[in-house]
Amino acid sequence: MAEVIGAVPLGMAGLIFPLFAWFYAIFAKYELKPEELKGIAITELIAFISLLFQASWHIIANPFGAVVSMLFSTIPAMYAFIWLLAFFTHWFGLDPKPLGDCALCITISECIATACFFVLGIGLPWQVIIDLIIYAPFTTLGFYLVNHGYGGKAVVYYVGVICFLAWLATIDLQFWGAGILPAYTPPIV
Amino acid sequence: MEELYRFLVPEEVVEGAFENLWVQGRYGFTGCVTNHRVLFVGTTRKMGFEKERIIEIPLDAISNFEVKIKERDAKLFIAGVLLIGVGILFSLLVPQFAPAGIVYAGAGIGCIVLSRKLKKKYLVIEAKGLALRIEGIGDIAEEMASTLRRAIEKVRSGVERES
Repeated sequence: MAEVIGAVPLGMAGLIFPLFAWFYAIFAKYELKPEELKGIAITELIAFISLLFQASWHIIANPFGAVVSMLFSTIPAMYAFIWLLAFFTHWFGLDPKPLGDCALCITISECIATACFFVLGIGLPWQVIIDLIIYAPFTTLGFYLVNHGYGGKAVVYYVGVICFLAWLATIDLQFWGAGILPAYTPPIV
Repeated sequence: MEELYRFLVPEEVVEGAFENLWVQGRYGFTGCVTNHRVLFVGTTRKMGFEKERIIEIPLDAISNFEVKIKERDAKLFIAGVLLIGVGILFSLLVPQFAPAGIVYAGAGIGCIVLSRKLKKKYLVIEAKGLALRIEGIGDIAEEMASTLRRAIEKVRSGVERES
């Protein structure tokens, strides 16, 4: 398994930055001035680059065979592109509503992609599925709400907490999910 | 933001200032309510070119203003229905998926509940026969309405005292 998903630790290495940056920005009560937003936007660009590299590696190396490699590629690719959109939105101070719409859009795609692991009978450990469920629907839905004008205290607090959980899920994927350390949950099939 | 507007309009009393506003659906505005007017300053982009926009409404020109509420978020509702669909469909296709399917269906129900519970608030200011729609993040529209009410009451009580 470690050989098959070898690019996952690299992808996750970039993803931990924006998730932790947003968690910290919310709980440290940043005012989110343009300069602070630009700093966070750079972490989103880092996530885009590392996730795109992961997605590309899975297509080029084709470690599992066409269908499964595409699945391992499409999930990071969707997140890579949403982080690219987030980078441009926060760097240039653009209207965040399209970002929220896209987060809602990939929620469904990501949930179907997660279900495909079961349909294809890939023996991933349950912890990976739990990590993917934390990303979508819960984190992506939070991104929709917070970028669509629902910025009430409860919504912002929810996004802060879910960013922290998603950061923990990313660390889990980086080491345990990727096979660097042995999985601690049974396989799904 | 209030300090910034105090520099911008030093001869007026700034009652309140607000950021990240959508004015008539255009994002990127800041706004303030002074003892004389409501002022919106923002940058809009068309074909990549930036243009500064200033919208100014004198307080005595405002005929009416109210906070309107959008009752349902259709996008969130559709996402909820789709999540329930994905959860049920794949649970039926692959029984091992059922625990995850239940979580998806639960999140879908949460989306449907939220789509009715979370209400988007807009402030509509009517002046000179026109209506300007302002949307903010969270409860900004309500805060702006109460600031505007306070400013108009102050102006009216001042006029009455003078007369």
